[in-house]
Amino acid sequence: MKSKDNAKLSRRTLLKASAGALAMPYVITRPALADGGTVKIMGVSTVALPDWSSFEADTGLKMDFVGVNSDPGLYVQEVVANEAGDTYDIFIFDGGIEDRLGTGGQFQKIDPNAMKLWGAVADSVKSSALLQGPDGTQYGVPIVFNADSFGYHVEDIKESEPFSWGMVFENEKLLGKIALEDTWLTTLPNAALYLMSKGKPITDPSNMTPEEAKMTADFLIERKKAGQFRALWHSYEESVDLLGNREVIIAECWEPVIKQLLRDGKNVRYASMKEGYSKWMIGAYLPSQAEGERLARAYKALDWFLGGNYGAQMAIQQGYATANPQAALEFAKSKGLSEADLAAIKLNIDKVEQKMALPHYWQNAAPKHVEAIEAEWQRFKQA
Amino acid sequence: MPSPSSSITRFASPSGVSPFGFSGVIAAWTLIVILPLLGLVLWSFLKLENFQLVWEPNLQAYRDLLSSGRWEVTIRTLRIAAIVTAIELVLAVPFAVWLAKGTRSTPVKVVTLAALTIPFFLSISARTIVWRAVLGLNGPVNAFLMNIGLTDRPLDWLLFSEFAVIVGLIGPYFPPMVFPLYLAVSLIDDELLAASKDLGASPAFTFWHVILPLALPGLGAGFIFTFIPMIGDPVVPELLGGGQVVVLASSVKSLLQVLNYTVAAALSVFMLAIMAGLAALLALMLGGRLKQRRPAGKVPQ
Repeated sequence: MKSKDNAKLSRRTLLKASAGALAMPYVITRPALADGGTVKIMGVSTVALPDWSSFEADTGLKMDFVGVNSDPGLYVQEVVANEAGDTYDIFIFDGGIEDRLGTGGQFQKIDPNAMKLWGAVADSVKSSALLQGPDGTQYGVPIVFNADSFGYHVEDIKESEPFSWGMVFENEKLLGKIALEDTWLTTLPNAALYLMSKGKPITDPSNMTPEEAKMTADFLIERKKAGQFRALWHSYEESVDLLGNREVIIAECWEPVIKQLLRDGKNVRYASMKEGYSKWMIGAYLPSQAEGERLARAYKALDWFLGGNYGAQMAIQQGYATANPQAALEFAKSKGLSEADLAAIKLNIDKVEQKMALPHYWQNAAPKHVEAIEAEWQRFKQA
Repeated sequence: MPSPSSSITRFASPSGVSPFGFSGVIAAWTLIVILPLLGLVLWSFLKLENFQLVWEPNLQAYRDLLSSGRWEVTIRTLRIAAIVTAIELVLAVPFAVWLAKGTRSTPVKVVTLAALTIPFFLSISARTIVWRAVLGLNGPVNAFLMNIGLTDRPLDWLLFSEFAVIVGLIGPYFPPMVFPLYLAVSLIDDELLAASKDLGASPAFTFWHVILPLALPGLGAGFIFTFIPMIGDPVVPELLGGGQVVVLASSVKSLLQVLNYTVAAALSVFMLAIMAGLAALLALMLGGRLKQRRPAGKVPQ
């Protein structure tokens, strides 16, 4: 009996000890609120650099970057429902979202004087509708922007650029060889752009009325039933996979996909379009909860994003334009980067200028009739 | 010998369950499960204005559900889950019987049980994504079919279709079906099987009339552990369906992301109603069955 008592006691103490050990992390480390010198950013993975050491060297701050998918629903969920503004210092989201979250009070107004490089950014970029609220309040700082179309395998396409969006949506030769992005943000307006060129009554693909969305969805359902589309992709890796493995010949995708596949030796190209592009701007927004020390650090970080170091890296690696492309060029020259890199940056500047010249359309993360648009998109997916 | 008056035997724990414990569990269950469900039902009758819920009971969410055709998502989800569960049953029953009764050596049992458990250490996305390479246009399955001449062009319905989703769901949901069955079958007394053999029954007869009836509780548990979670699976249909196979989880997620809480609630309530209806149907069928079972205590005098 005695040994049993001893055994019981030691078991009990063991349980207590392990419970204590498991609870330790929660007791000792409390979430650090004012961590001296770290900037916590929630941003789309599009803007992330593989290596933030240049940021840390230039600003003296540590970077804590949490990448998310380019999904307006996620932004609203995180900021409104999960109150991410309490822990994050900067949000880097798709432009347009400030129409909802800025007017809703979750973002604060940008103070242009807090950033040294703000003056160097072109006015046309600063005052983009994708950074300002409907009343013109400046909520966003431009980070990167580009114009999307689609990628394709060169050997399989006989026609020459510039293409019409009909190549993607009404292409009898490539039935079942086309992949689309699984979001109403880009695919629905791309189809609307094509319908506009065919004369259908659509005013603004990025802000469709419920009737226009229904018309576009009906068209897409018709094409889906004809077997036009192979798959809808959700993530960057999926799109690389689909196009790289030749599962599809044409894929609505982002430009870095093409850059990566070219590095892998595939013969692909990014299309230039007749009717217009899916233009997007990613802006940095400040949560209304940021103030004092946090705010000062955030503005320091934003200043770096507006500078030449980030611009050069983005232009070379992803092919994106940043707020101040000339600064990127000067930075590259001053650092003595290779001729190939300088050429890449110059090419980037020209390409972006040419793409931006077409009026349509700027992606809008917060269209007026977003529920109807989402419902029509779901109707297409289910058909 | 007194025969039991009720044909459904109440299971009473030998140690006796304290009445306070019982009501304690019921109270906790109500708080954690029933109340949120009632809240969900309530939300489905509210209105959404400016992404805030407005206390104006109406049927707008249900009208949206029906007019957009979104309610078909529930039918599709149930159909896929039913097909996969049926396949799992056909695969799991022989496997469980073999594992419990057919093999005597412990190492084999241990290795097999480990093999069923270890894949769970990987995330389900990692296990599912492999199917994309296998079933793709340039994958081994298509290459094999073209090699042996069954088809001259790669089959595109192997991937990004309901077929792919069904194939992808079979693997992850096999263990939940096998484990309860295995436990139930391993509890069957070997003496019963020996007696059945001695009395001249063929293995098939033993299987259908001795093993299966005794393993029925395990079958029921396996069905529940497989069918119910599969209805809420978000990962496999998105990865293998190519966005074309919309199931409950995808639809609800898409609704929540535009903060359309009322229609998401309505869709969930609709699914709950269907499940409740099916459960009631099942209870009716089984209730009739159980009443037919006369107590076996009537010994001929």
